[in-house]
Amino acid sequence: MDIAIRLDSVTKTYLTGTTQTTALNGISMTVNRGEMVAVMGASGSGKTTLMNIIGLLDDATTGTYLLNGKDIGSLKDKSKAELRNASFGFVVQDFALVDQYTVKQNVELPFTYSKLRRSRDEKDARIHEVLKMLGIENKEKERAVNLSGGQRQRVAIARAIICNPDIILADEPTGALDSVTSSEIMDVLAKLHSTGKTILVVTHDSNVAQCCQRVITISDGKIL
Amino acid sequence: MKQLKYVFSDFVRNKRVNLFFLIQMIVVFLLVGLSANSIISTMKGYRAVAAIRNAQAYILSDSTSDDRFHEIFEASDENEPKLRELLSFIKERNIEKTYSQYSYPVDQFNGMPVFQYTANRSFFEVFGLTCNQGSDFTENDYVLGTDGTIPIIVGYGLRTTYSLGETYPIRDAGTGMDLHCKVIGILPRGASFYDIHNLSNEINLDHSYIKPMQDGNIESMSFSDVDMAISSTVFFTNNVDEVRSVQQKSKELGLFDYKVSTPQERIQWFVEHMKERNLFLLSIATIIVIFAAIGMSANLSMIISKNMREYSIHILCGGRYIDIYKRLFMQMLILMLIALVPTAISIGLSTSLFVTAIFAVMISVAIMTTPIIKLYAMPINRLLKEGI
Repeated sequence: MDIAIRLDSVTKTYLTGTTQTTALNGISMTVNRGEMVAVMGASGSGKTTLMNIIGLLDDATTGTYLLNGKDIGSLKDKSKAELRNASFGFVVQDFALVDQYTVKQNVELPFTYSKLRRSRDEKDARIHEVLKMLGIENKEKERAVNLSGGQRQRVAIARAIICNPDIILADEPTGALDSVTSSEIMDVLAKLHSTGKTILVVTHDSNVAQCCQRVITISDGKIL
Repeated sequence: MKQLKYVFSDFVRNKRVNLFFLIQMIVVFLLVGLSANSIISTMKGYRAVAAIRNAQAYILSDSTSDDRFHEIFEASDENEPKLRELLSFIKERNIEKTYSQYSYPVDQFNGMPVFQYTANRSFFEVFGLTCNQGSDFTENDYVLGTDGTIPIIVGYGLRTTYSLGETYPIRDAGTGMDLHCKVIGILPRGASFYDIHNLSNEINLDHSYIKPMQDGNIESMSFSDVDMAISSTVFFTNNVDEVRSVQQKSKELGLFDYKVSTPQERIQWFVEHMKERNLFLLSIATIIVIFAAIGMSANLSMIISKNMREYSIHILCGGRYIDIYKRLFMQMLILMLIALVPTAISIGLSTSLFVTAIFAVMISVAIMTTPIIKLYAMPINRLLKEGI
């Protein structure tokens, strides 16, 4: 099986004043292409730090991170940003939508930073396709602030997959939703998984973790 | 350019903050622009009157008391012949040359006042004014002709109203007499001169026409014409006694009390006066600029704080800090360009505007420095933590 993500002895330490905090302590893990993995752990266990490093939003202090076999440590910021745009889709607990943007403006945001040139028509067609897939095609012109929690998370998922990335990183994707909506969102993620996407879900909800093929548990920056 | 749409969207979303920012910029740029304009105009004026400054010359400064001045004006019928006599006396002196001009506002053209100037030979020589269409005045034009036609030179802005070679009926603003004026020359665009009494005031001749101060025409000049002609006269001579004789003659005729001085003294006084004024203006401008820069920097920080979430989301979607900087820079650039408009309107497209624009760029860079350094020092994960 192809390995999408491989971490070897990754550590992350923060210096707060004179105090050194270790968020990740020698993490080694692999995630195969097309796998759906849950990362569980208590608050402060290092789940989000791990997700940030995998999503190229943060750098490991030591250790090696291979993305599709390529060492990420040697990449410059520009290349990391390009990879972030092309290879990853992010879904977070509070949806990370710009409230004042319309659904369409939010969803098309990754196009702004994409290296691939697309015509306006191609962009519009892709936006419509994705919104339709998520059942919110009639919300295109609505401002994000006017949507329900479930709808907003669907918009966030639409944005995450608009550039057709291989990997979806979902950090507590159901954390701000009721159980019915949570279940709907997990169904959407499962559907995406079925199309071959690699999905990593950070959660402390065992129901959410149950939807995944594998669960990695972290405690005090270490994988148990 | 990708960031431009987000800049405009930010203007729409954060109208109040951006408007406040814009107003601060307008005030600062206006102040700097006006100060720069005052300094540069004075410097230009100082250079423009080099022909007067560097020559052995004298002027008659009017030191008549206010009461005496009113008495002379109230008895203008009685004093008019005396003034003419004084002007004739000046012309009879053994003086190398004199510079003299006077003007009246006569009309409006496209909302701009039109001025009628009457000037003698040296007016054109001193300020290097020469026509680029038609011809300059010749010696004959300064002599009262017999056919009653007066040659005029028109400013660039009036070239279509007064066509070259055509004769027009014009009512003389000083005497009220109907004249027939023939256009013999057109000045280039922006032709101008300076009043030695106010070097910061560049007098544009685009909407003016100039008629020659003709010898032998003294009898037809009005009281105001003669008064202005005398008071504007600069005497180019090595012989100060000739000028003092004019001063003496005026006293004998019971006219104005003149003080003989040199244009250099007058110019020096003006330059000193302007130095003080400009120093005062610049001091105030500096204080306001310092406070405004702090205010603007804080304002920019506020804009950044308000947009932190949006920036984080952009970074999540593949953006980089450089994209945020580009966006902030464009935002500043657009506000700066808009803020320069009132200054451009008030001082025109000039060197002063260029100086103000350079200042605008410098202050924009200065006020962007602190917020950008703060942003730069913030790792992406912290930005995301604060933003999302």
